[in-house]
Amino acid sequence: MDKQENTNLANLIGEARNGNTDAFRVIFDQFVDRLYGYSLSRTATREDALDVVQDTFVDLWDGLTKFEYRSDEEFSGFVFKVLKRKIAKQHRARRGDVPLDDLGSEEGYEIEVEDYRFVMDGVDSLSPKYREVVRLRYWSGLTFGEIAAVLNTNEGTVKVRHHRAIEKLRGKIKK
Amino acid sequence: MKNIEKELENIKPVGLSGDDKHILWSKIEGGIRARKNYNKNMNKIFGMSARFVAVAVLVVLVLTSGSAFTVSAANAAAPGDTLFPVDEFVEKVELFFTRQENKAERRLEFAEERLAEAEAIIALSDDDDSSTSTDNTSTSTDGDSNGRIGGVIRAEHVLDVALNRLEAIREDLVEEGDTEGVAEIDALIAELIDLAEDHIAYLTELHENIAETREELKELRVEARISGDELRFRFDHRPFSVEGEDDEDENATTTPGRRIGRLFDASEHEWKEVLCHITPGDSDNVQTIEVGSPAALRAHLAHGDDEGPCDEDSDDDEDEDEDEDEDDAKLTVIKVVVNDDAGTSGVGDFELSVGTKEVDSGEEEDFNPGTYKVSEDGPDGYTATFSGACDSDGDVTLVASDDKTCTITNDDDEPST
Repeated sequence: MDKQENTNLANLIGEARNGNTDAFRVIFDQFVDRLYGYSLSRTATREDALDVVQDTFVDLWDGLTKFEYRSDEEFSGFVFKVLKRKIAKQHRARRGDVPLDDLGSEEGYEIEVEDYRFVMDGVDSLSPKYREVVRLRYWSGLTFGEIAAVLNTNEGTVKVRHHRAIEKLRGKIKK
Repeated sequence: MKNIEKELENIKPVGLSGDDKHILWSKIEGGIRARKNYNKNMNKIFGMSARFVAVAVLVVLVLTSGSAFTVSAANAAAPGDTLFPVDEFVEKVELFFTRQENKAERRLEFAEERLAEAEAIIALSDDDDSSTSTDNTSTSTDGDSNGRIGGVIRAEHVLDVALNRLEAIREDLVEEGDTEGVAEIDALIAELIDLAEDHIAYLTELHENIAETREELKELRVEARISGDELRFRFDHRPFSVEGEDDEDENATTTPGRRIGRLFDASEHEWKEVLCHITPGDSDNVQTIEVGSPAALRAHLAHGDDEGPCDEDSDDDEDEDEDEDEDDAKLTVIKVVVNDDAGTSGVGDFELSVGTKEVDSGEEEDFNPGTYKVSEDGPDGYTATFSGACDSDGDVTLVASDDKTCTITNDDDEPST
């Protein structure tokens, strides 16, 4: 993001913290697709994904009062951490009903998922740390820096994981 | 590789439509509005009688054996349970203030937020965990000159304060001509007194039971003696004696007159339980703590803490099965690439392994004790050397609790001429 966008998000957060829902709506517009994309890959249905995103934004509204803006990447990390907690909470609430392995909705994709079943299976077979990077990178469109903020690690490690994840996927799909 | 990335791009979920976003935003706005109203009303309630609410909380704390934690238990109490009267009283206090506001909506919000409130109350008392156990100890021993136990004195004192506050609010209501409010607060006062009397009677009975137990404990005699390099204890039931009265057993090695209670002094033989504590109202804030009494343990578990130390990834990485084991050893492999000749590869081009386990450069990993070979798979044209805990072949031996680091340095080879 350039400096203007950076300042813009900082201002929006400041406005939203002061109770300005219009500012919060702009933040919503900037993040909703990315949150929904990630959520869809971790929940059982499209409705579940939407519920989680809704709860995330309501919590975020309250959470902004405690958030000190330092960078866009850090804010993205903060938002996705709230989302991940909401997903984990939904998993816990439904534990026993839906096996975790079965999660990940096939609704709401641009293409027939069946056509890309081998890619989806490949992603699912990755170890969690690689799978997470792929989800955040491709399902949510986060930058490496943003992913690092979500995963509490550094950008270099994320790049390494991404590199390996792609290599592993290529190896799996070749087989 | 680009093809894979392209395919991943292709299966990216479709974004929400404008209508979807509009509906979703409406729901979020509704949620935000509800939160705003709730916060505003809570501020109003606390603002108009913050001290009373604080006192009401204190009353509940004291009336439930000096522990805030029973509030959450009380909320789950059913008719017939010991705590049910407390639960009812808390409900009535809440409803009393609810009626000062707009009713149905407020009641609904109260119902939804009761757990959060209970957690907030617990948070208020979290800082008192250690003093709670100390307090409980002193409750059974301290008292006033009339022989009343500490818990009863505190209950009576807080009851006095609470009644004074209720009386002050009552006077306000009388001045405002709110007869309905006066009737309600009168009922609350009467109930508070009944509840307090019942609880004081319960505390008194409890105290008597404790006193009996203490008398029985005084019959216990403990001897410690050093035999060679062993410290041996002997437990014996007989009347407790004080200095000058305990000369009947010449072989006794206990210090004459030393009160046996000191051998079991809680400060010296403290019971500890490790918990993963989630700060109420701030689920981001988790930390491993130790609590010093079964009551504190029950209370923490009641508000959602987990037994055992915090798992770093417990909240949102449930599918990561990286179980910590105290018998594990830790090993960090660091990859260094030196490109001072013709090399262009980076750290990410090398795949590192410890035994059969893949690892990332700079990331600490757990291993069972044993000997492992650290290896790598990477581009040609580099000479690898091992340093740190690894020998020149990359072998490293780990024992329990080890925390070792191996460095693999890959220096690019000089181009052949």
